[in-house]
Amino acid sequence: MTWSYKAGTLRDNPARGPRSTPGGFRDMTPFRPSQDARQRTLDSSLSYDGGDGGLFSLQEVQRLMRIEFDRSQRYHYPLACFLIVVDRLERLHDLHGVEIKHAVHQALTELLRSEIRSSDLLACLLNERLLVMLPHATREGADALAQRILAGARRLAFESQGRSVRITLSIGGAHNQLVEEPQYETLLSVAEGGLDVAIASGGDRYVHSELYEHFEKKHSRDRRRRTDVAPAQPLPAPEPGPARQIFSLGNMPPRPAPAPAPVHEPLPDLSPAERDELLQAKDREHRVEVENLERRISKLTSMLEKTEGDLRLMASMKLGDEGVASIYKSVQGLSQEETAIELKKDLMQKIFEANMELKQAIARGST
Amino acid sequence: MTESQELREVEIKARKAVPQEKAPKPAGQPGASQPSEVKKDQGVLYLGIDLGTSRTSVTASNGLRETIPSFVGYPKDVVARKLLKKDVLFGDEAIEKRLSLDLYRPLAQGVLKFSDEKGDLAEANLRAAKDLIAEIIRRAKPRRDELVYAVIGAPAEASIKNKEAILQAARESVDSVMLCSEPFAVAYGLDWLEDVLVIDIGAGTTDLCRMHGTMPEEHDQITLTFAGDYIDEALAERLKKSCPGAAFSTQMVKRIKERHASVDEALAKVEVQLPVDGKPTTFDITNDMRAACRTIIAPIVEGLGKLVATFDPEFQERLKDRVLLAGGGCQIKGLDTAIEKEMRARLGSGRVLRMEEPIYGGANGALKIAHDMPPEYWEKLK
Repeated sequence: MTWSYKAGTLRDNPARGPRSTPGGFRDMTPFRPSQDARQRTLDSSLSYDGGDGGLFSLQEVQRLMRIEFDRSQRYHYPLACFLIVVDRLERLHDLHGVEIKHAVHQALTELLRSEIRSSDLLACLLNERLLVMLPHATREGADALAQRILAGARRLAFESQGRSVRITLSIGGAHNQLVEEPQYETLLSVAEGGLDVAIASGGDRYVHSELYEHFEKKHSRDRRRRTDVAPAQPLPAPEPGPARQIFSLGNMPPRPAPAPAPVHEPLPDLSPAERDELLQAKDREHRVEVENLERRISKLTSMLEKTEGDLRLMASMKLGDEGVASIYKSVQGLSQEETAIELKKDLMQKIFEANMELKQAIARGST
Repeated sequence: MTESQELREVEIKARKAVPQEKAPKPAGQPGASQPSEVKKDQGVLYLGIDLGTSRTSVTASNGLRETIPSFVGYPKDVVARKLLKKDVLFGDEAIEKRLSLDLYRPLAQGVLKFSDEKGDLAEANLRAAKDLIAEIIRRAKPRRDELVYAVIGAPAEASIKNKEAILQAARESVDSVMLCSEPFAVAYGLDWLEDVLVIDIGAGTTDLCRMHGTMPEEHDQITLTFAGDYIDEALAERLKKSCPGAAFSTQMVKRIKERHASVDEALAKVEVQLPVDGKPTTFDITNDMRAACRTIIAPIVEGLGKLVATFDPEFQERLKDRVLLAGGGCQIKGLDTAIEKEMRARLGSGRVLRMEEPIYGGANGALKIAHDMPPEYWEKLK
C-alpha cells in the first residue's frame, strides 16, 4: 500500500500568521496570578507525549482542564471548548487501512496545533475524539476558530493507492458565558450534545448546542447524590440520547437570558420527512448494534459453556478418585511356599522368553 | 461370600506372600526381589486382563475386579457429543446409545480386527482397543504413585501382528505388560497345570488347550471359531425361519441367548417377544435355542479328540477325565453334561468340570501369573 500525506497543505494559510488567535482575546488576563509560571507548566505539559504525537493524556488533560475551568469561573473570564471528530473515520479505516487513520490523526493534530494558541489545551479522548479547551476565548472568537478548523480540514489531502482521500470534521462547541456558573461536566456534555447533532446532520459542521440547563440540572442532581464520592471524577460518559432527541424534534430549550448571540450552525429545524429519515437512520443503527450485541452474547455464551466444561473437568480431576492402593508394596515373585514351585518358575521363564521374543520380533519388524 | 469377605481373604493371602516374611533371594536369580529398582513410596498394582471379543475383564491386586462389554463408541457428530457429554463411551452405555455413536467392537474371533492390515479402519479399531484397555485399567483404579504391571490373555493362535497391536494398545496405560495364552491363564489360575484339557469358550473363539506340566506349545492348542458369536448367528438364522415377519438385531439375539442359552433336553419353554410390523409378538424358540447352542458341541469334542489322540497314550485316559470348561460360553446350561455325553460317544469316556467364575476365570489366572512373575522379568519388558 502506498500512502502519502501532503502535509504542505496544512500551513499554507496566507490569511493569518502562524499563531493568530481567534477573536482577539490575546493577553486578556491581567488578573491571572503567576502567568509565567502557569505558562511554563502548560508548555512542559504540551511537550508530554501521551502516545498521540504530543497530545495530553486523558488524565493529564482532565487535571489541566479542570484547573483552567475552575480558574475561569473564579476570575470570570470566558472559556470555550470543542469536541472534534473526523467524519466516517472508521469507514476510511476499513477501506484504506490503519495507516490512513494514523495519518489523518496526525494531520488533524498538526492542523489544530497550527490553529490554536500554545496556551490552549488539546487532548485526545476515547473514540478518536479530540478535545480543545480555549481559555480567554469569546463566543464569537470560538466560532471563528471552529470555522477555520473546518476549512483547514477540508483542505487536507491524503493519497491511498493512487486515490485522493478527503476528510471533514464535526465539531461540537460549548462556552461558559452562556449559563451562570456552569460545571466542567456540563460544558463537556453540551459540547458532546452539539457534536452528536453535527454528526447526525451529516458532518462537516460546527454545532453549538446550548443545552446547558438540561445538563446542568443533571449534573447538579448527580453531584447531590454523590457527596461521598471523591471530587476528582473521570470524564462523564457522553449522553447523546437526550440531546439528539431534543434536536431531532426541534424542541430547543429556552436560551439563558445572558446569551443572546446566535449559534454559528443553526439548530436543525427538521421537516417531518427529514425527521423520519433521521429516526430511520437511528433505527438502523440501533438494529445493527443489537445484532452485534446478540452475536457477542452468543459467542460469550459458547465460551462460557466451554469454560464451565473445563472447570468441571478440573474439578473432577481434583476431587477424583485417588485410586485403590494395591496390597503389594514391592514387586513379588513366586513364594517359596508355593506348590510346584520349580514347575511354575519354569513356566514363568517360558512366558517371559516368549514375550521377549515377541518384543524383539516387533522391534525387528519396526526397524 | 460377600465382597468384603472376599477382599479380606485376598488381603490375608497377599500378606502371607509379602517378601519381608521371606528370606531374601540372591540377586539375579529368578524370583529375587530387587527393592533398589522400585521406589519405596510406590506400590505395584498387578492386573490380570482378559481381553475378550464379547467382554473385557480385569482383576487387580487391590481387590477390585470389573468387566465391561467390549464395545467402544465415539459420538458421531457435534450434536451427539453435546447430548452425550462424553468423547468416548464404553460397554453397556455405548450399546445403549449406539444410534448416536460410531460403535466399535475392536475384537473379532478373539483378535483385534484388521490388525494385520493398514488403513483408516485398522487405525480406528486400534484406537478403540487402546481406549478399551485404558478404560478397563482405569476401572481397576490404580493409584498414580503405583507401578502397573499387567498380564493380558491373548488368543492361543493370535498372529504376531495381532499380539503387537494388543501390546501397543496396552503400553500407553501400563508400565510393563506381558501376553499369555488365554486357556493357559485359566488353568494356571486354578493350579491345574498337569494333564488338563481346557475348553475356553469365548464370543469369538473357543480355545482348546492341553496342559501337561509345561508351557503349552502350538500343537497343544486349537482355536475354533465355534463360539458365542457363532451361536448368535445360528440362532438368528433359525429365528428367521421359525419366526416369520419378526424383526430383530444381533444385539437382541445376543441378549436372548445370554438369558435362555441351554442344551438341556428338558429345557423349559423359551418364549420371547419380537416385533412383527411394529407389534410385539410372542414366539416359542425352545427348539431353536437348543439346536443353536448344540452347534458348538460337535466341533469342540472333535478338537478334544485331536488333542487326546496326539497325547501320550499312557496319560490319555487321565486327560479325558480332567476337562475344564471355562469362558463365558460355559454358562450355557447343560453344556458340561452334553460335552461329556458326546465325549463318551466319540472318545469312550470324559469328565467335564465347569468353572465357577466363567467371567473372571481368565483374568484371575492372568493376575496370578502377573504376581508370580519375577521382578527382573518385568523390568526387562518395560
